Amino acid sequence: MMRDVIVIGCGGGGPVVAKELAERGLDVLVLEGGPRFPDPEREWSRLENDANNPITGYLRVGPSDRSRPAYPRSLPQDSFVWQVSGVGGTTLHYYGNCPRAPLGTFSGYAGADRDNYDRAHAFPFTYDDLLPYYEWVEATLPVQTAAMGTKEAKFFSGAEGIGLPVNTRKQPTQPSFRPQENAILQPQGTAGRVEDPVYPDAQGCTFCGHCFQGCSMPSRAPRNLKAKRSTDNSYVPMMLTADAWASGGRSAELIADAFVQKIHTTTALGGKPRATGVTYELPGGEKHRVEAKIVVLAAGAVESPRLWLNSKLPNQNDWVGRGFTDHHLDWIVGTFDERTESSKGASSSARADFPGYGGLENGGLPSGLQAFAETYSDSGIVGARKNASPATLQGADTIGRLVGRDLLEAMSDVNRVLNVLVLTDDDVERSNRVRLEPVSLADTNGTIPRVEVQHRKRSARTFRNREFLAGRAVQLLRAAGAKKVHRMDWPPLILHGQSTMRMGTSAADSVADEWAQARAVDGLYLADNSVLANGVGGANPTLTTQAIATRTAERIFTQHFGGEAWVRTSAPVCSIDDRITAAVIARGL
Amino acid sequence: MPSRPTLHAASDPPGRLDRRGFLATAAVVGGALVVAGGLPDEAEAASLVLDGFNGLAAFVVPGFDPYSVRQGVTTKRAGGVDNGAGEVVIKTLDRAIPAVVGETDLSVPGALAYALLLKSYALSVSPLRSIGPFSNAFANLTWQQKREVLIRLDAAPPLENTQITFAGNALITLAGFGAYTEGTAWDASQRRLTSLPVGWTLSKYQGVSNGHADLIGYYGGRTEVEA
Repeated sequence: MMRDVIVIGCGGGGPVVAKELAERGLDVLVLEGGPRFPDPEREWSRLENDANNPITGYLRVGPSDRSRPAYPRSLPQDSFVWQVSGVGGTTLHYYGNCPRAPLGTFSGYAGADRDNYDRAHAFPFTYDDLLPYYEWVEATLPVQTAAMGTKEAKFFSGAEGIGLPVNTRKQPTQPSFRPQENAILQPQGTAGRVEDPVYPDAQGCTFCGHCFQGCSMPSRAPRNLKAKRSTDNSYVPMMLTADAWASGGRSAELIADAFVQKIHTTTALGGKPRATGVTYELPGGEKHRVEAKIVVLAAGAVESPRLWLNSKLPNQNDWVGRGFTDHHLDWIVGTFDERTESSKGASSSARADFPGYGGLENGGLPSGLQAFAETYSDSGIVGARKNASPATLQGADTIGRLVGRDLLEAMSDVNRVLNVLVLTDDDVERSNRVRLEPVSLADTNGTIPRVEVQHRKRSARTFRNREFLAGRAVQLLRAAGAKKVHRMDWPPLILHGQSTMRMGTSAADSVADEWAQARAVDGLYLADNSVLANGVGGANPTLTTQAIATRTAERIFTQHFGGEAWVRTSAPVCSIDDRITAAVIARGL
Repeated sequence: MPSRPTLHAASDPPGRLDRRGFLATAAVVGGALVVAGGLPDEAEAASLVLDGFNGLAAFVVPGFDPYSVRQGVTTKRAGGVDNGAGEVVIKTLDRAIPAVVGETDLSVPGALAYALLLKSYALSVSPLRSIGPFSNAFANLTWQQKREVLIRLDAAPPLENTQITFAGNALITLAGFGAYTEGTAWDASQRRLTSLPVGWTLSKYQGVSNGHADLIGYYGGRTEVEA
């Protein structure tokens, strides 16, 4: 059977394309290599090792059967790629933060600070071109202004203390701070006010503090009314019920634990290859081949280039997998005498933006992840002779791993710390890349991916930005009243993997064109973080990926199926719409 | 001389992980095997691994367990060992790296490979102190000597530029993580906590909750922003 569209990957981007096209009546098949969690309230313990152990947890990159190994990745440097496979993908553990990309990351930007950005790798369209798609996604998820708990109040006091103004708009144009615009439903009723809230008395964020373990709250809420708008709670319920709420809609089909191993193409004499379908494997080894008019690759910044290369698709300019950006994250911890309630509430509801440099956001964590964050470093053990890391204290009391009595002291009360995550506006660099493991290590899905990040040799601008932001984070924490400040200098902890199949203005250094269609293969589009043109200026990438995926869906519909564009001429249905809720309940989703 | 067993991860086949891929690793692990006196039998291996990573757990989060006592840095409360941090590290490494090929056709799971490395580094830091009650020399060191072992591992990773380079840096991190999570207090088969995790007591973490009463409101009273 010939499908209209096959979407490979049910993470942050794939379901966006699937929902938009299912809403318009196309026959869409979504294939996800990881598990589906149909009943998270019962399935997810929300215990950190059970959830977040990157090898054995239920939120890992691996198959449903946790007795089987995780999918291996080759990491030839100190680093870890912290993604999640499964329906929802990495949005299952994301914080839901939805800043738009800074203006300077787009073509056509002429601001006075334009040279502060990675202009060589700007998005191949203007901010105004993408704006309607941002607004569409923001209304669909929906994106709202974050509520404030104790840790956010502490962050804001620090930001005020270092003289930052508050930003009351969607887009920062100067250094400033603000509550996050995030994809987390605002607390209503008893949510955020009691210890054991239950739907419908409680709606929206219950302040449980478990964003990173997967959002299953409020208890008893229908799936599309869970607080965090990870795609398993937003776009996936929409794509699976499109026939119920969209005139002419047709529900997408979803198959989980279906690992796509090959993209098939055909090539007419003298022409370009054209995608024709895929082969996927189910648990137990059963293989299936499916044909489609259009294939959308949305397997993530590591698996998308891997699948491309394992499928032996063309790579004439040698940019497949290259240009990996990751925001060169760092983590700064302040310890306080007073309570911060850092393990409670939505994990990150406050941020500060420094256009041209990146941003800072708070990061609340439970106990185990707090210890993880405080023991992961590229600078060695605190007080020891330093490694070769170029990072410096930037005003902190320590730099490096905390161990022994130092760790016991820093961990003496998880609710008296305030963490700041450094999100560096990092450059696209050719040498940072995903490729196939050259010594032919393979698992059942083909040669495994090798992720290479030369983190001690980042560009001068990337290094400058990270050091600047670390310094501002230290100042913010001190202004908030921290009695000690520890800089971790993380090795690559890749939570924001981006731009490995980048779109660009030049065919010489990009894999996809301005419409996210693969330059080398007709009928093949990209719809995950891999297609981002750059590091999004340090902004959390999911919203921009979802806006581009919406634009891509519209392009597919108009170019290949004779449809009309809709984003500028209609209003979106919100994922918490009553019609969707009714369908979710009726179908037991 | 009795033949040595081939060891694999406890419950996982190595899959198709290709022996050729571990050539660089093999040299290091092979070297560690030589320093450590060869590959132990399975019972010895289990003890070597457990002692090695309990020694690491005591280093990262000391308590009053025998490993902490041996290293000379203790506290008045239970620490990482009692939270099962060593076991968390072992399980994670074995799952992450199902098989590392040694100098011969022998293959070992990841935890044993790294336990052997800890042992060989310990012997180089203090051959004398390495002798003691524990089967892994690392666990017999003083806290300062353990620190020196881990500084050397940090500064000159033995498995650099191999598929598993990341795991060396992760040893301390995994031990810290294991010490402050639910650790071995979680009975996965029954899906329940069998006791209050030690790490939660240390960090005053209140545990899993459906919600908290920590809503203050909205900064500046703004519930939405301008476009």
